[in-house]
Amino acid sequence: MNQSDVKKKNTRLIIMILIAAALLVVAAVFALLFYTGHGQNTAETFASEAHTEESAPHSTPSEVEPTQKPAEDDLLSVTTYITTSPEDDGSDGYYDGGNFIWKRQAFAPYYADDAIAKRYAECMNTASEKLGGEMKVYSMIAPLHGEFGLPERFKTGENVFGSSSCAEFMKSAYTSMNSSVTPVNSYNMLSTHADEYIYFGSDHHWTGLGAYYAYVAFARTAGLTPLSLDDCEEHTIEGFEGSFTKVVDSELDLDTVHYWTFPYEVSDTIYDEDGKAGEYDSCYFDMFGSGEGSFLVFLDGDHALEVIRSKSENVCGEKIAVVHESYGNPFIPYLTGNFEEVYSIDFRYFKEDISDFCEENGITNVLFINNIMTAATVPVLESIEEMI
Amino acid sequence: MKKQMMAALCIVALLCILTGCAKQAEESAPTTEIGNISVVETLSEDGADLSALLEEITADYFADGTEFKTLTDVSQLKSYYMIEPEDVASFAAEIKENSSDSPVEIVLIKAATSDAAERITIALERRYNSIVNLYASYSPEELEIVKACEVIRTDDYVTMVITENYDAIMQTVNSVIG
Repeated sequence: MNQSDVKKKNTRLIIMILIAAALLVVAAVFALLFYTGHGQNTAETFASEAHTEESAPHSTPSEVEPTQKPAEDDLLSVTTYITTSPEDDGSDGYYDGGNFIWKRQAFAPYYADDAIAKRYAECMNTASEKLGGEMKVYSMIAPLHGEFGLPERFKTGENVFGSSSCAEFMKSAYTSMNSSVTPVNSYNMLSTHADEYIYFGSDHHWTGLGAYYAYVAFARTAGLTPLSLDDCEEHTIEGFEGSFTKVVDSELDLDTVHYWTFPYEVSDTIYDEDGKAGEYDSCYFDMFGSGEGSFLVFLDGDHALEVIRSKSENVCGEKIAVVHESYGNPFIPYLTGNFEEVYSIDFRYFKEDISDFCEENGITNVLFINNIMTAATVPVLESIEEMI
Repeated sequence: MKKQMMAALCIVALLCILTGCAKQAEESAPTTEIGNISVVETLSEDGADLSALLEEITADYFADGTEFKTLTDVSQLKSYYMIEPEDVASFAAEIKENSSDSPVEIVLIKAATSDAAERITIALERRYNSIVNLYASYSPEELEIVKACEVIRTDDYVTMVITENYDAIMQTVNSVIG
């Protein structure tokens, strides 16, 4: 081998080393990028989740199309949510304990994510399955006051209400229900009447009027003609000191309870956990008067079971059971405009198997009503599943 | 020959760098994955045995046959309280099956980090406030029980004890984690 050959061999060797080194460097760069990218993805996942938690309460649902004159279909659609905001006088809002205070009213936040919304849908699907194929099963989630009663400025910035979005929860839950459950969207019916007295300011419930608009949403969804309040007689109870007055230090404006009696006779038989408690000729009980107990005017408060019978000429030949907590109390009386027998079942106190109970009593419609705070509480969903 | 040795050394060095990177990445990757955790260790290596503590509380204060739902999977903390699993080092929790007469909800958590403890505190305070509002609406007596309770953070431990025996149970809790 002459000098030239050695030189050529060395050159080839150097080139090979350089190529190998370059390949390794490229591989190293790719490896670094991969690991860095992996780290970023993880961080983005967490950031994204955190972002969702932080921003979800304030974001407008993607398919929300605010409209001035919503079509009837939009009002009942489970994918369209019409947002609204009250008149804003610029006054401060702040947290007092666990509730947000604005204009001498209290607003309860709630916190949930998409997984919990889907868990609620799963609960309703399970309930429908257990109740059997011939039962018409409806599900209504009641949004909270903060969704309609607070201005936009409390949804961003430093002084935030911070509650999760009811619209997003409802949309996710309703669209995850299977075809055996009919979702009832009360949201739009409430938001289009948000300038009316649909929620109490000193209490976490909707008012008799708010419950009426939710009833209208149910009746239209079920293909029934809703009872008109024009045909009813309005009554009021002044000076309602709602539940928030017991848990916040701030002074709140007291509320007025409105309720409507019907142009037909009804009877209400009340059963507590240990048996029959009484029989009455109304499902409204005004003896509690002003003060903390005014909300008890609706169905005499919480009872395991009430059977309300209607003599309205407009009732259909079917019976309905409403499985609910206290949000159902102001809602249920309106159903006497459409059903001959209405079974009010408070799932917190009712101890029987609901499937068996419905079968024994010839009930062919079941409506679940849960305020969104309850709907987003997993132990509650488990207890509903266990009792059906 | 020297050049061949140098080339080999270069390759070895590069391989070492690459292997080192991979190992570092492996070490920094989370050891658990969100939504894919089936069982949580109820005893962290250097912490209090929260499960034993909860068992002691149950035996001492609820020997009357009170039925509880016991949370055993860390993912339940996510669905019940919106607490992220990776924030939890260890936990023990139980909820009275039927709380319509009197509420009992006991959650004992050792957070993975100080920041995690802060997030857990916020999550449990939200749950606590929700319970307060719940009982404010229909039970003045039980509302007083709930209002006398608190979410407490002690270093990386966060507790939510809601029961009429709050003071006595918190003494037991503090004797272990305080």
